[in-house]
Amino acid sequence: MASKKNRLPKIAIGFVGWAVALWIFFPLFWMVLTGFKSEMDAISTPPHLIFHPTLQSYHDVFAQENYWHFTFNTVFMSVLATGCALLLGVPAAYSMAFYPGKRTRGTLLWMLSTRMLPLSGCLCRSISSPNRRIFSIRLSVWP
Amino acid sequence: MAKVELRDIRKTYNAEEIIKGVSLDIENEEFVVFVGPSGCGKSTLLRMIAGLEEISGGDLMIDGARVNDLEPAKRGLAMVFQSYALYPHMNVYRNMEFGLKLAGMPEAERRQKITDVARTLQLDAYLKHKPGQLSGGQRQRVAIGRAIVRNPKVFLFDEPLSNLDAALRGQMRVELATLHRRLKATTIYVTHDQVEAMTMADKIVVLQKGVVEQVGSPLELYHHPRNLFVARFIGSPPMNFLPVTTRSIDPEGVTVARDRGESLLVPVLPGETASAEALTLGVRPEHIVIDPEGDVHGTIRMVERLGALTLLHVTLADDTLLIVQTDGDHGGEIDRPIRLRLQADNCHLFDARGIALTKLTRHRLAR
Amino acid sequence: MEAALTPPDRVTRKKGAGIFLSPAVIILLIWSLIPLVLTLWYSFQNYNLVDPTLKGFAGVSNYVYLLTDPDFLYSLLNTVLLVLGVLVVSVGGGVLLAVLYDQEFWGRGIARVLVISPFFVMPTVSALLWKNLMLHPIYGVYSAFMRAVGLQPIDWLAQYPMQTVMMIVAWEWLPFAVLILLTAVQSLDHEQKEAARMDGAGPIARFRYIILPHLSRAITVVVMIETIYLLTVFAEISVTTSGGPGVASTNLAFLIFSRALQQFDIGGASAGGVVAIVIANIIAAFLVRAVARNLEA
Repeated sequence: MASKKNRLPKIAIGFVGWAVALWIFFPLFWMVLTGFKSEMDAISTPPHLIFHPTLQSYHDVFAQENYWHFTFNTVFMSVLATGCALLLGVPAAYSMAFYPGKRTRGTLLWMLSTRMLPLSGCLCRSISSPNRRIFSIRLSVWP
Repeated sequence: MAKVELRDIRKTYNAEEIIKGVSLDIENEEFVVFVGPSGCGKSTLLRMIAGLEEISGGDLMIDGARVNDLEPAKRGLAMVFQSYALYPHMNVYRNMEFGLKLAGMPEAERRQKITDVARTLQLDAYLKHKPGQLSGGQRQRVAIGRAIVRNPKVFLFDEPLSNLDAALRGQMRVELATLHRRLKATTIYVTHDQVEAMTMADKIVVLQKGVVEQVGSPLELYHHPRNLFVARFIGSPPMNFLPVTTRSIDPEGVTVARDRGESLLVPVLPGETASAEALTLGVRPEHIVIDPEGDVHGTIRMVERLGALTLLHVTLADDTLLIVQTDGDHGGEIDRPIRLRLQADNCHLFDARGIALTKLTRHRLAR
Repeated sequence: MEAALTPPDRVTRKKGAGIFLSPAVIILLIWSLIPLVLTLWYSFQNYNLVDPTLKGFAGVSNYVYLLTDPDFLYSLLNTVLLVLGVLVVSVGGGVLLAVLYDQEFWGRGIARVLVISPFFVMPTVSALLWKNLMLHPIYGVYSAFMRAVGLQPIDWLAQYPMQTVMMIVAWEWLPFAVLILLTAVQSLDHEQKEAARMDGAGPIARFRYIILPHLSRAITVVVMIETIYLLTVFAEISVTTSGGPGVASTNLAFLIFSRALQQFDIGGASAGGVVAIVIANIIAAFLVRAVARNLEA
């Protein structure tokens, strides 16, 4: 027997919760939608919500660019970088957590500060290695 | 302080009724304990009185006014939680100050109240400490202090001693009882520990599955349990139960006997149910006497020596287990035969539904 | 967290611990030291790819040129504005949304997923999304709405470049803040909230005195992680405004990039890189002190 006055705040909260969620999500929704439009539909003003869906754009992307090559690069880079970070990070975290020393905190914080360098600050012409991104190892040391 | 009345209180959760029509009267300055096994609804009932849970049906009255729809803070109550629920980022002084500050009490008055209460609870050395720096017992005192400072009409305690070790628990029981007497405060206390209930309560409410099984003073429940559940729940070690059959009914009581056993005249009113054959005999461990001519034959399976008394676990011929309490110097040995006699005057009889048959005389201490 | 070991054990184990730690430290040292040294070296050289005849030791002229360049100071300002602006929006909004999504309402689980989704989109994609699909003065959805109510659509990226970039980055990072802060809000012991209710605290008082202090640690984590990234924002600027118009939306990272790769002035860019490193370390020192305090707490 929830009284009437208790229902109203709940409905208001639900409304706000959904309004914010939809507003934040809207660009992504629109992007997916536009992907299925023909070029003409995509640039129409005002934009249409209802249209004839087509896979033409997807076809063009795969046909014109070597999409799989770039995808592979991305995956390769992320996996390799993550793998190396873990390989180096886990033993480091282990030793810092279980055998803390005087310099542990300092080392930890120095590692953190290296993360803040802009990528272009580490500019080095000849190296395009994927290991450029060294993730913060500290998160695995969190007690 | 205040009088609290519950009229047919019900609580439904997810289409299941978990509190099924509870009606109670809690008098001014009374210390009432809600006790029962896990899941019986005692905490839910307390939280409904506090205002933390919605009351699905029935009326809750405090000092004659219906408070079902009032916010917890406006009901004039204060609650001590099982986990103390202290504010970890505030020191002891601020923890106790929080409610008073929100109520708009001026600073000087607040300080006076808090220092008084801190002195009563021996917390004055710790006012600047944060909860994280205190021991369990100290934290509990802060939680109690926080409640006292608000000068509530009713104190609510939700299993406050569960998180303490045994020694501290015993000490705190005494302190809480003393505090209650000094503050003359109406208190509702929830626990699953029947020892706490027995030692602290003016009145005990035994609950099971959302229903009140019995309400009464500790000794009333001990000596005159209304049904099997209360008989089993109150008293440690628990009451022994033996299946018996009725042999005869007289003005002096009902005579029952076990299979192939001697008969026993139990001084109870037969009511309508005694004439049915199968009853349950209940007898507390301290009311079984070791008698070399006793008619109950058994073998000692285990001996628990507590120093002041000894508990013997005895198995009878038909594999029934009896716990017998005898004094601390008893030389009981395992696997030795033993003969026992049940004190008929102190036995209880329960009918097939588990309801107790009324005793002919009431125990002198059970009002 | 210290294991209670007897002194002799501790000493021998410590040596073993060093071996585990050293690969990470050594590699990190190499990856950061070599580029650092090289960058430092280049910064003192006259090194311009366009004019190969200009060579030799330049002394501090690169630095002088850089620090007196109004563009440099402007980009520094932009960097600070970007970081602070996004932090305020994402943490402030994050706290409010975390409290909102902790309440029960119909479809709460799905709404949460929707709110968190922008975090998983690549920065370039997000930027293009906003530039071409949403904010585009002709084809964009927002412009269509403005036309529909009779207003003239605004070319956001041309007229308010820095603010628009800030908004785009905030859109990307708000979900992250909400995620972390929501977890922190949910970890708040509900008996504490109930005790506050019994003490007479309404929703605002509960938020101010109970929830917010509880979130302070999580907020520190969010601020730290976001600052680390926000100092180096690059893709969003490069894709939308290319730092323009002029240097209106250039931050430090983009400035270095444009000097090095677009003006081919390696010497000058290296100087900029060194300055960036110095600034990063200063900020790191402050942040680290704030975080270390929370670590001990």
